[in-house]
Amino acid sequence: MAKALIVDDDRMVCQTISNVVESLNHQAESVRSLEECLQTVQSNEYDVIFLDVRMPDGSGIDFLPRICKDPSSPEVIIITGYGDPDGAELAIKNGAWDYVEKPLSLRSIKLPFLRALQYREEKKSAPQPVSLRKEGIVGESPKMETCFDMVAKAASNDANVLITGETGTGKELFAWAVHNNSSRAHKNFVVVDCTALPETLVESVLFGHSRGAFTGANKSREGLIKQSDGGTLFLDEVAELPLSMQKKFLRVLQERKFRPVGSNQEMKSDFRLVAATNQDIESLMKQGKFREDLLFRLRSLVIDLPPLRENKEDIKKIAVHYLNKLSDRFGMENKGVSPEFWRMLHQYDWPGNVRELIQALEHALASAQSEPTLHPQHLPEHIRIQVVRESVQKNKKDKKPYKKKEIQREELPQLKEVREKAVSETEKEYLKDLITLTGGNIQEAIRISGLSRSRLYTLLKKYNLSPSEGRK
Amino acid sequence: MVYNYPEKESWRVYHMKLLLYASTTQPPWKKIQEYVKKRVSYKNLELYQTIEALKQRLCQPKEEMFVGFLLVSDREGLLDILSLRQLFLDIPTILIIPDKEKETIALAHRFRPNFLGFKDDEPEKISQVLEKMLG
Repeated sequence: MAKALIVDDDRMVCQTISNVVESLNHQAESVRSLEECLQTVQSNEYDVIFLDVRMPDGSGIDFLPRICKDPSSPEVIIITGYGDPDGAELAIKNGAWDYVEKPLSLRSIKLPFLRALQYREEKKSAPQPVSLRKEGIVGESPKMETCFDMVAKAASNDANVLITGETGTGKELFAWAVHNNSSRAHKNFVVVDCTALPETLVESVLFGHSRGAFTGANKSREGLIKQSDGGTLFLDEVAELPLSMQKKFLRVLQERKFRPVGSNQEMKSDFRLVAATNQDIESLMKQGKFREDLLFRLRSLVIDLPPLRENKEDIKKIAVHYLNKLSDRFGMENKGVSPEFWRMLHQYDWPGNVRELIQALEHALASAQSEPTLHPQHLPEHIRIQVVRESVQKNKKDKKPYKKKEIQREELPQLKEVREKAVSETEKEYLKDLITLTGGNIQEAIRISGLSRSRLYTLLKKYNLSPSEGRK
Repeated sequence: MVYNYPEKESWRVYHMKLLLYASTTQPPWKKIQEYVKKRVSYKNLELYQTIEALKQRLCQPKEEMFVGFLLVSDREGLLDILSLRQLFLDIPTILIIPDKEKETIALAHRFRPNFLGFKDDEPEKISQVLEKMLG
């Protein structure tokens, strides 16, 4: 018999779900607040938790990582009364098992509940992986934990993996981690950097060639596909693969057989494929620049790495790790770090992601030389300028609810449009200040703002803000 | 040690600098080395001939972006280079190895080079890859 916990402030919803769970011969309990949920989860083990998004004391989605971290690691099904595809995506990315919308029907509760139980059973009976070797990847945020979970999943089977993420997010390190945690770890991990290969060389480098296959082929050569036999073939920046090669490579993926250039004989290679790209490969597929059939083959498992600007809670941890490592490498004493330095690291958007952060730290250490503390002045100039510009622009924007370029148009926008924009911008800034000032305390925010609880939550949702942002 | 020789007008200007490691000047290593040097201005080239000198350079902060070009003449040299792998984390690298033995290739892949070549590869081919990497 499984145990379910229903977390919803609506008594009727709790009753409905309890009825469904009990009709399936399982046990159900319910609580009316997140605080109560936390206490109950800490003292009891549950298999499935139905969690409402909008609770009197906070957002269920914000609360999700805390539940997922519980040792019993229950499966969480998010419930909401609002049609919200972005919220659904956020819930799944934060570790929810599924997402159901109110009004609830018997079917909408029963199916995800039974699937969650089935998944949990299978997970329990599956052999537990030895702790994951993270290969120097630093991060503890829920988004990174989701990526590590995917690495563990990828390492336990042989499915093709597609790693997506902006430049500098660590795609190669994740590919290496998949390989090193898999049963193929003792064999070759073969990197194919598709951006480094001129189009004329791709085929012979991948497939190899026989002697005399083309001018200059004085000897036969084994290709990278053969070298990855038994191991992992890592196609980095796979979107750069020419279309003609995509077709040939698709056949290799399907049959694990290929023919070296100029050879009549087919060869076999039992490799596991991990591919990576920083491009929107789906959009390339729609433009006819990437084969649909190949994309479907590549993405049996997808690891989507977050950009650093969406993962700011990890910046300090990553920076400390690399400051220690770089100081060690450069033979320097570990330096202190000023609060302003940390603030600037947090304010900058890091378009080059972790790679750019490491380079900035390297620059800072080099600039600081023997000075004992790192200050913003030690960071590269373009970072300081960008942060200052954004800060000035923000202040300017705060003062002007519409932009000057709009005045220069032939027709001014309607006053209603300008007014709505001004109100929206002011409301958003006000709410940001409110949650910062109150440290995310909802009761206090209600008292100060004079808003009702439901109105406050509606506005927070409208501007994609969360009380937890004030608690950082 | 920084390689020093006169500037030529025909050299291309690249966005990245080249970090060339070559512990031997024996043919055919010399041929590849000369081929590379002809394509990169000395201002964009740093040449190291011992593993200690290379390590010393990598243990200093670098203000520019580098591409590594490592010519390894034997398996022992390959092991030396492997010991520096952590220092190459952000340096895209071409690794040229001495033979096509399975063990040598396996060791070379542990370095995770962006391009793996062999000493008897056509220098023209290696040069095409290098030019693409230097941008």
